[in-house]
Amino acid sequence: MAQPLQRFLGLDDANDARGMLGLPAETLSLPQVDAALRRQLARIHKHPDGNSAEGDLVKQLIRDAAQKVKLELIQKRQAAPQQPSAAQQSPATEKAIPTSPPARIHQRAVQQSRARPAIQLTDFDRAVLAVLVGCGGWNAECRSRLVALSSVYGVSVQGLMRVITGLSNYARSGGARLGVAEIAGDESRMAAPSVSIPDSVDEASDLLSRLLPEIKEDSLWSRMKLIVLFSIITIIATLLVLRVLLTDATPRNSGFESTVKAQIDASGSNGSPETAMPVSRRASAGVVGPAEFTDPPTFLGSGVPMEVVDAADEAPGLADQFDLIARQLTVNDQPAEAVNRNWAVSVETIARGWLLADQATCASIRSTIFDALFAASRQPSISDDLLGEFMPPSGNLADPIDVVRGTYRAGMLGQIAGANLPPIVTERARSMLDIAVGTASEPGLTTFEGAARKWLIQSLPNMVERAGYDSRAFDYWELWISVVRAVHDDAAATLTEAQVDDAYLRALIAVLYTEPDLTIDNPPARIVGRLVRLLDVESNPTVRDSVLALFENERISAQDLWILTSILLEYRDQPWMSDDLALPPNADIPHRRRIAARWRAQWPEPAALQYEARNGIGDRLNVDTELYTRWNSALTALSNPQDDASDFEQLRHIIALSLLNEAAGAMMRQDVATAGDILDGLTDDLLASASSPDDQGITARRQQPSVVRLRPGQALGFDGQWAAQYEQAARNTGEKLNLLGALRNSAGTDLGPIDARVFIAEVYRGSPQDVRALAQSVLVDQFATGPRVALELLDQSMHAPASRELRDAIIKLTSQPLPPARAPSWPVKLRFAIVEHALALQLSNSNAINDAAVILSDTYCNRAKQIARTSIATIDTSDPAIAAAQLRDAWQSVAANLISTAPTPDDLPGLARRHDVRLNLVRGPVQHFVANQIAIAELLAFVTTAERPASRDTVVTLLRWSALIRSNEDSVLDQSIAAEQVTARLWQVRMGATADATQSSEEDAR
Amino acid sequence: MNQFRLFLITTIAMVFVLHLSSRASAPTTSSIANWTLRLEQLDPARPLKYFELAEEIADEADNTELLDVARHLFALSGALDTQRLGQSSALALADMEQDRTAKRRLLALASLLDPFSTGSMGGVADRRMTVESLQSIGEILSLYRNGRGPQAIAILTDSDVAAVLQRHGHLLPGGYNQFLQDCRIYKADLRPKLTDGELIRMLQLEAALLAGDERRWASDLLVEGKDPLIEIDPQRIDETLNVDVSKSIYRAGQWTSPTGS
Repeated sequence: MAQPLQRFLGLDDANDARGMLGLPAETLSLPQVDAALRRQLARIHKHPDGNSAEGDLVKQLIRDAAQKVKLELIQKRQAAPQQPSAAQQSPATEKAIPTSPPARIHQRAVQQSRARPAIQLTDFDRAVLAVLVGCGGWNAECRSRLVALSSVYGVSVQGLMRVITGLSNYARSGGARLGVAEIAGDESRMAAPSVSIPDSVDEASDLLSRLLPEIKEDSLWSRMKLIVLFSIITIIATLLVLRVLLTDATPRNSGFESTVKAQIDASGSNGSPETAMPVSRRASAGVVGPAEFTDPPTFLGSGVPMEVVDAADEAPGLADQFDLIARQLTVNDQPAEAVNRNWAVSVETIARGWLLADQATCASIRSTIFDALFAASRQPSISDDLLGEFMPPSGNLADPIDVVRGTYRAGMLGQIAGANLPPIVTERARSMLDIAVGTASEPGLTTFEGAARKWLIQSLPNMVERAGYDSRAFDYWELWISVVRAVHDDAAATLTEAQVDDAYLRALIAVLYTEPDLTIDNPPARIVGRLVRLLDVESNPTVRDSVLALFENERISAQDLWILTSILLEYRDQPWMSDDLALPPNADIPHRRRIAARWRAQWPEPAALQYEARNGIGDRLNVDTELYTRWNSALTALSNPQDDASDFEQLRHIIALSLLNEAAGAMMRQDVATAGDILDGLTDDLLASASSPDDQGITARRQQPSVVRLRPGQALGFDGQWAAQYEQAARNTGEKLNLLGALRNSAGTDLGPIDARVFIAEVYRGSPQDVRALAQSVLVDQFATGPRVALELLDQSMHAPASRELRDAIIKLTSQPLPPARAPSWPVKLRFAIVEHALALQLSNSNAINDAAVILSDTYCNRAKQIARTSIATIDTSDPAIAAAQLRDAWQSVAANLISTAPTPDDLPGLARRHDVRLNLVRGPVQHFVANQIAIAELLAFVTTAERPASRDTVVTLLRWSALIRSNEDSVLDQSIAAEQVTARLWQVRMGATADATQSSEEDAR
Repeated sequence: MNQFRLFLITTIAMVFVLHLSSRASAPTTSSIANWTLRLEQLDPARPLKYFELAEEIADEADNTELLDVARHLFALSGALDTQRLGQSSALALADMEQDRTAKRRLLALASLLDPFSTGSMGGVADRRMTVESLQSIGEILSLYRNGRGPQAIAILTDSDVAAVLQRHGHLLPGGYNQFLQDCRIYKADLRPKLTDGELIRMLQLEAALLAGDERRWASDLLVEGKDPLIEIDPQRIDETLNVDVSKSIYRAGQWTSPTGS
């Protein structure tokens, strides 16, 4: 027996239970034993033969040893002296869940006391102890029984663990022995408290006799007295029943509602001091005080479902299953259907059970999943099928357990997308992740915690909607809260308490935005109450800022704020809180601001920097450092204003900045290759323009192949000679045809003014039709690049007939679409096509500007594709204004999926309104483009502050400076450059380089 | 009798002239000190008084200082009561504004605050041009190039067409007036000699007008003259009017807040 132990764990003695678990000899706690058990099991798992029969044997030995140690501990504690109850000893923190049925809670939060009160076990404590003893300690059976017990008492998992921890702390601290009598108590273990009922008719009869001695008497007078008495009782009962039946039905007034309602009534219609009554002991004279709650506004959903418990029990065996699948996929290119089924079942099991499974088990399962995906990567269809099992539910969550399953699936997708696996697997996972949680290029999305958190946030709208109609809403929310915590409790998590608070804040805002009536007892009110009590108001500066921002948020009514502040005052009870911090329910905006200022003054500012450093947030670059250095250098180079720049040079500047923003988007998506390519091209172009200002730089290198510069034609021979011959031909059709045909051989590619005049007249009005057709053919074949011919074509176009043949010829000549010849717009469209053609043949800078505009449109289309969901098509367009509008729509869809606690610079309807105002003032396509640029910058600011609330001040400053710069510019191109620059600065903040953004913007403003 | 009548008339005329001259020579209210009392009587609860006083001062102001006071009063009245006085204030300020961009901004603000506004500032009025008007412009330019100026002038009797060409006269050779003169000169197929630049600008003008909102950037920059986009936040009228609405009380020669801080 010792040999397997030696082999797997390096141990010799199979009889030393503590030694097998690696535990010291002194007194321990049950959780310590569990932790040691998991540790040893993980070691065995990791052993190459961990899944062998010997390995299983050693695992069983370890489990037995753990049980033995636990039993010893329990017996030891039973022998210890009495100590205060576990339930009362456990510190009641702001995040505590009641450990007894909520109906019992009528009083304020328990005073934190360092004294040791006498032991008082509650029924639930006794029940827990009984289960522990009966099951022989902490094991699977014990766990499942305790979960069932928790459900009966309405205690959450965290509450249960707290009770157990309390019991162990009590025992460890030398508490009194808990014997059978203490454990069993005087009442039934599983019975809920109830009114005692007389257990026999005799007892009832005796009672009645004592109260009404007439019953025993057998005289007429006593009988008359009894008749009168019971008649009166009957009449009174009848009247009461009639009154209940005949009065109007009113909503049930809970204690919660009636107290709050009294407060509202007392405040009067205008809150004037003369009508207000002090309705709470804390209200000062003439001022509406905080609301008082008879029942605390909170909720308690059902505990963890049994399905989760059962799945967690199966979890230790799943690594073997995935390992088996991996081996099967390695040897078989076409695995059997059973493999897929096994995969699906195993994924479903871990998706349910991960919440309770230990970390080592989850880690080993993850590792074997990766092995299987690696093995499947040779066959894309198979790896796609396997990955398909990780798609989380979207939209409507059918069951509360979907919160657990969805989180795991989304988290795994994120982890797979960022794993060191073949690209065919990671890219597929990434695209699935795009669909599941959006393509916001949020940092950290390719981690389990990041993707899981994103999915949880995205599920909020569904959760909030459910609160209005689903009787299981509390179950959903209970699980949501637990899962948020569980995602961040992973010891290896890169996310922190700050993200937990952020998730709770987003949930709070989401509920408040539904404009619930918090003054009545309804699910949204209880959810708000619970969430407020979960927030870290002591040490998280973001919580402070976000709560303060609520006062300015006009979407949240004063009435809701009254309840919110009352909950904070009542149930968070910080030393600095006072009654005058409660916002009256009818406060207007100035009043709200005054109360907010009071909160700001009294609420101590947490040590923000220390908190951020401790929690890993703040100014930390979240993109490739080397790429960022190059990017920042390019931005610095592009920030130097060009004096007396031409229109073309300014346009080139805008393109370079847009490319920089395109690179920033690629960097945020961790698309190093694309970002590197763009920066390479940008640097070369910058260098080229620096060394040779005449070089067209970017535009020359990135010119669209479809943009063809026409080389203007040249005329040959003497102008007028051909015209004279043609006029001499008069009505000789044959001669005319010959002369027209001769132009193909002798005329060059253009004509002089006199020849052009005569020629074009034949193009439009040549007779007979053969002459006209030949002239049109020669026009297209010979003079397509002739500027003189084009100009003459334009100047005689008022004589153009509405014919299909002419239409076809002009289309061939100009490559412009034309309406049918009979259309009302024909004359204008014809002329437009010809004038564009004539312009293109003129050597001018305007062509370069138009070409540059096409390139600008190109980069904007790329940026839109970067962030658009795969289900949203983006069109390639050569119009920068349309491309910019498309990019704006893409950012709008990103922003719409975020919940911002302090929308900056405005909420989404406000941003839309600003954009509409700008569009109203637009003149021409260039201004239209700039209007969209500004809207894009504002939406990027909204997204950045939603993701990084601490950056709000910096973002506001950037926007303000940019607006100031734009208002002082006297050219729309300068405005465009300023708008593109502020977008780049916002990308800096989003990438975690806030300091760079601030410093550079100060220089820009100067 | 005639002499008496003549004497009477002369006397009356002299009195009248003297009266006029006395009024002319009387010291004008050109100093802000003369308005101090009325300025100090202004109450932010009655914004209309600000507007009325601004009108009075603007009518009589003959120096920059008083004009600035009038502007400030218009701005305050508009900021204090945007709903009723915002548009009027913006129009009044636009009327007094010399800077083209600032004037456009104020006119845009007035348009936004107009409850009956269609919402469009118009931009290039060409957007609302009819097909016939657009055709006419093309014909005019072609007739001019072909030396048929009088025919071009005949089409210019259309006021819409003339207005458009006048607005974009800087793109016509020599300007709009010169263009009209040239049309009278270049007739009977006598064609004007245009430089490449003049020809290109004419073509760009026509292309821009015909394309409307879909015109290319080169045309747009040429036609719109790179005018900056006007940005106005209707929620922050005070910023657009460049006034601090919290300082609406005039005391001791300064604008201060009602609470004195």
